[in-house]
Amino acid sequence: MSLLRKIGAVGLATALTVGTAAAADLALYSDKTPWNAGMTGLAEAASAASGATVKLQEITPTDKYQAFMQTSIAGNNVPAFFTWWNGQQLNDLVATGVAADLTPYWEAAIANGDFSADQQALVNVDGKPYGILLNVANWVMFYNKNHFEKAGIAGPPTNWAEFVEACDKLKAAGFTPINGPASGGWMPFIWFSQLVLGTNPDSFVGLTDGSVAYDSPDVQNAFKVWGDMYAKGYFTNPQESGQDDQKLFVDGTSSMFLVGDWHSGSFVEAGMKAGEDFGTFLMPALSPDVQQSVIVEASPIVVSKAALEANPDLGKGVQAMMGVDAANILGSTVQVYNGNLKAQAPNVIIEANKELVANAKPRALVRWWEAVPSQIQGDLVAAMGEFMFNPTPEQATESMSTMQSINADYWASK
Amino acid sequence: MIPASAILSPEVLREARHRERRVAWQQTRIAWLFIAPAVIMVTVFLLAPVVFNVVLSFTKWQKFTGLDQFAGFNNYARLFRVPYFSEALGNTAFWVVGAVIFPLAVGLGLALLLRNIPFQETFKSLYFLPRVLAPTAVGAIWYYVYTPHGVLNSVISGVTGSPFDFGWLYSSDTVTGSVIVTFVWQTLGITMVLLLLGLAAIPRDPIEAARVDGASSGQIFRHIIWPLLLPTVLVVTILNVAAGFTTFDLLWVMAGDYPGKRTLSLAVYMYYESFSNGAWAYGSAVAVVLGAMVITVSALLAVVQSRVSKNIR
Amino acid sequence: MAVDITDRQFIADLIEKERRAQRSGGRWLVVPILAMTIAYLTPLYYLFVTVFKTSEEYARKGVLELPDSFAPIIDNAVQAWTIAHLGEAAMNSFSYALVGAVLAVAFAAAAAYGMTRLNLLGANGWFMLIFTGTLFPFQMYLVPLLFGYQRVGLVNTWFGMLLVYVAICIPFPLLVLRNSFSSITREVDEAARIEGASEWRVFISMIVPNAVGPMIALFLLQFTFIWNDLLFSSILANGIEVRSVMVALQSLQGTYSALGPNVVITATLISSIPTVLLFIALRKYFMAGLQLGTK
Repeated sequence: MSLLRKIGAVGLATALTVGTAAAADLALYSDKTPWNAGMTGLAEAASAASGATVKLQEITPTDKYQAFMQTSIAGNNVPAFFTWWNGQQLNDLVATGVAADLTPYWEAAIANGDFSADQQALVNVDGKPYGILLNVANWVMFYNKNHFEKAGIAGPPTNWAEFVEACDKLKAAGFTPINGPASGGWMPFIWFSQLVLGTNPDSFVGLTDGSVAYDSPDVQNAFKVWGDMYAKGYFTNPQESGQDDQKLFVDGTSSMFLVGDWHSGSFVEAGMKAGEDFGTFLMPALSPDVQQSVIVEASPIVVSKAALEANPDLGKGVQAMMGVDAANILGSTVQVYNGNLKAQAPNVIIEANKELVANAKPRALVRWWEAVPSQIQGDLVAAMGEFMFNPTPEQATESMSTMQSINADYWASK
Repeated sequence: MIPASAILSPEVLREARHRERRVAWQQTRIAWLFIAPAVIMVTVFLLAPVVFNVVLSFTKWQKFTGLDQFAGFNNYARLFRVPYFSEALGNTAFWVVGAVIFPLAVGLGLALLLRNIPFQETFKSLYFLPRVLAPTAVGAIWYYVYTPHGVLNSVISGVTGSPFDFGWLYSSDTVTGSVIVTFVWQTLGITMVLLLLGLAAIPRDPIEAARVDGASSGQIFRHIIWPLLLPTVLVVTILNVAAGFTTFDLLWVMAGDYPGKRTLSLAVYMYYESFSNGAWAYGSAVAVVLGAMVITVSALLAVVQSRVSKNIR
Repeated sequence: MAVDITDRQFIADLIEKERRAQRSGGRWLVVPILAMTIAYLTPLYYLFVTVFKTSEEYARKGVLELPDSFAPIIDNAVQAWTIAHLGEAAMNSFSYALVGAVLAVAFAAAAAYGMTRLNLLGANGWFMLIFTGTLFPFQMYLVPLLFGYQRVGLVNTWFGMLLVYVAICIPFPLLVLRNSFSSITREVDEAARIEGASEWRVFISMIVPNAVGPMIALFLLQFTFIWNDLLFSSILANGIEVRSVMVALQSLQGTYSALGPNVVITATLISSIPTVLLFIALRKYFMAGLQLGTK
């Protein structure tokens, strides 16, 4: 039996070492691989301030990351820090009771002028903040300035007619006007939501609270416009971009890319110069009577209540992550802006977007992804994706009826 | 010399029986030590999860809530309420039939042809090669065979002379068939090797005798070769049926960009609902249905197999 | 037609005639078989030309065109190695496969010994219990394992991943070894026992040496199974430090397609090397293993 006993002893010893090693390190989980340099900086800042070792752990793509976090919470084994989403996603998370209430840290940050109360509202649930801001982004249309010049377009379009005209000119000049990837388990919602809120912002909001159906006239209009745009060849083929969302924009195939301005850093990384090679404009609504709106995205880092109670020193780590130095690390490494009022804007594009919004005073809307109930998020995105791969009127009808049946099923069970 | 009556006296017998039982009991206790690691590992990591899986399928567990809420048969009712399950079921049926018929038909044809040609061993090894690669690696290679600017389309454009850029893995009409072709590519070699072994075991005498009597090749195949090959065919069928029901790696790797990927098979649907969508209880119900089907079909095939081998003996 | 089949000369002529017919028929058969074989090998040909291309070359040339030189494979391998942490993942998979397969076959052998050579009460019941572990599709294990692992902190650990692999790899070797152990004559261990050897000694020095062939074949099958696994690792251990080589390969294909297919294809080649080498080195045992798999 001695061999068996030896094996058993080695096994037990290994289990104990592995077990204790896992307990000593605290994790900062993220699904945002392109920001790893900045996230590592945040983890280091938190480690230095708290005395604990905080290590970055990444899981991609987004849908797998969410699944991992959900089992962590169900298994009562929540990481100390993890990135999350605001809106409905944060409400669902806070309802489980695992997230720490960060009121004292926000009070301090507002008092010393790092953040404003308006910004705190982005991560509030029932009036209390449950997140450290990691990213505050405006959703804008990026455009390739060289393409616009070659196609003879005077400047960024300011209404829908000008936008269509610009697309036609780009098409004539040999470019695909718009980059339309369908990757990551979430990107199909980009143009769906843009065209619905361009039709009627109230319907856009209504979709996410169950008061507007996914086959209502405004959605039908959005799908009709979307299908027309595909028919006219405005979009890249999602088959061509695969999992790499920016490929067809940075390689000069397509001229425009509607996405959050957190993406600007990776365009620069790929060799484009912010402000010289590419600029931004606010995407106009479908008709002049519809109010101009802009999607504001805010991603929080959530802190585990259990971890914070077990190790109160982690609070110093929270403070460090909200400080101006942490904000500048994010800005300088990955050009992400977390909203810190004392921090420098990471690049000219993000600075310019702040001005665009300040001048146009659009209606600010929560992103569809954050606003929609998390239980049906994935199914709805899949139905939108099916349309992008097969943009026919028949598929539009099918996608709308699929989405509405999922949506109705969900709200009926509430 | 001891009299026989003394040996067989009741006391002695009882004593012997006691000793025997003690020895048996002692051996059983030692045997426990030997079987303990295997029994514990299998019970804790395989059997307990199966039981827990069945329990979960009757709860409301999804995303953040419902682990302790009883849902009755709701998850099973939902299978038939949403459109995806029946699509996934249909594709699984396609998979099971395709994974059995194509390797068998092509493998049998090849085995019969290869039997009579020179360099048989070389051809056999060449066809066996893909089997040594991991399904994930095979999927990654074939992903690029099927992409719009991939190998298949470039061969088609080369032959027809006009550009062709169809996305085989992006259309619901072609995606399942395309991945099945890849599966056949990987399994053909082993199917063929097994069939060749089966063919080699068939005695020559009855075939010679039939040929002497003027039987045609077709008749010989139908009346002599096929019945004797049937046990091998069944073994291959059982292996491929199980693979057809549960193939996951190839589909997940090759059709990861296909927007309707959850409907590609029940195995993928289960994975998608549980690990992409967070519908744990519902995913568990899909797994239970899949398990029930696999076990039923395997049991049926096992019965057929024992019938066939009885008939042959 | 009356034929005298006792006429040896007649039979010999007949066999000779048939052989000749087969051989001439065989020559014609080579053409379609060769054509089919070429089509069959095209994906592998594509693999071998692609690993020698740079990303730029891949985009410029036809997919089946020959590369300019052999040199780019080094850069492709380095990229795959660094970006996907393929080396780390390969080490993980190697340790899972080696330790996992050894432990699984050892546990199965011990259990088979206990069931066949010792007077175990209810031996059949114990066997059926373990055998049940081969009946269920893997999909039935995933959610409970992930949940349980989260609860006890085994998720994303090397040890936790290993435990699952060992458990999964026990039932099939047990099935095979139970057959081969029971075919060994009883006298072998009875004699040793009379000489006072412990059960452990009998197992190690009498029974195991009699079943080395099947045990190596089983080890190879289980090693290959663990090395090839994507499903369990993608769920239970997909952190960079512990993930398997197949998960790393898949992440390369998914997230970084900007690299170009040449890097991904090179990674598939790298990830296949160990099992291909094992197959070549131990072909005899591998074939024996295949036949084990069908019985």
